[in-house]
Amino acid sequence: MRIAADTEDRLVCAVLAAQVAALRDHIEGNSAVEMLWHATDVLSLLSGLVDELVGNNATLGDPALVARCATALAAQAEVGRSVETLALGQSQHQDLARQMADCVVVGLQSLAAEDGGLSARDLSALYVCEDQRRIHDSVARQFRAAGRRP
Amino acid sequence: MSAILVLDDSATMVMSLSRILKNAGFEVETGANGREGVAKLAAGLKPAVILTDLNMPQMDGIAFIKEARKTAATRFTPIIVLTTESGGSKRDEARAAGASGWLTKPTEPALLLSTLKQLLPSK
Repeated sequence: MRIAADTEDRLVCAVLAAQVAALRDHIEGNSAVEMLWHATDVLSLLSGLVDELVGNNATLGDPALVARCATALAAQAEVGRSVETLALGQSQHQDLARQMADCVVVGLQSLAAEDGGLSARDLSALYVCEDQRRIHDSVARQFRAAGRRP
Repeated sequence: MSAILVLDDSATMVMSLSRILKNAGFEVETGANGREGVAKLAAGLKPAVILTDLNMPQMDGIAFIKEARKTAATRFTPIIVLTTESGGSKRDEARAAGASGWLTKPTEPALLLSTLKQLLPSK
């Protein structure tokens, strides 16, 4: 069943589309990932300095300091890998959230259009992941259980 | 040094993928959609591997793969799809278009790099 909205509904849909679009742009503009990559740069810089310190003190014969530096370098490598994993994970979650928000924007814009409309089938064609299809199916089941047409 | 072409419409994803690949010793070229990817190939880029998203504006990943397979220089280049889609029909469509591998977001740097290394032509 294709739903066509009246004028007031179309206005509401247009406003909601604009608001979700702003949310989507905010998601993309989030600088947390940039900060994480900056942190990995700083860690690399510090590990380079520690490495130099190891070289200098190895020749000066301070084994205790050399051992501490080796521990610091191992810890840096581990933290660096974790931050890298976190940054990629954060980027992907951000990307998924942005794409899911984009589906809502496109759907609402279709409802807001002058001769627009949207069916459940049109909507499902916009999905970018299985989570969205599961949510769709769950809502459709709830509609059917409540005796409403999906 | 092997060059990897990364196509994704998310600037954040492009940044993170580029950083991980550069840290692993790869040269990286990027584009925000399939059309930009096709333009890079037309300009003479010969990547060792292509990593592409599916859902992109202007030209999506499937259309890009089809175009890349028509180009002599990339007819046999490994193409990995990295996407939020895990669905079978999309995967079948990508494979039919000529994709060599598939990674579902979220993935981890270690899996990304091991998949790339498996597909890199041996020297």
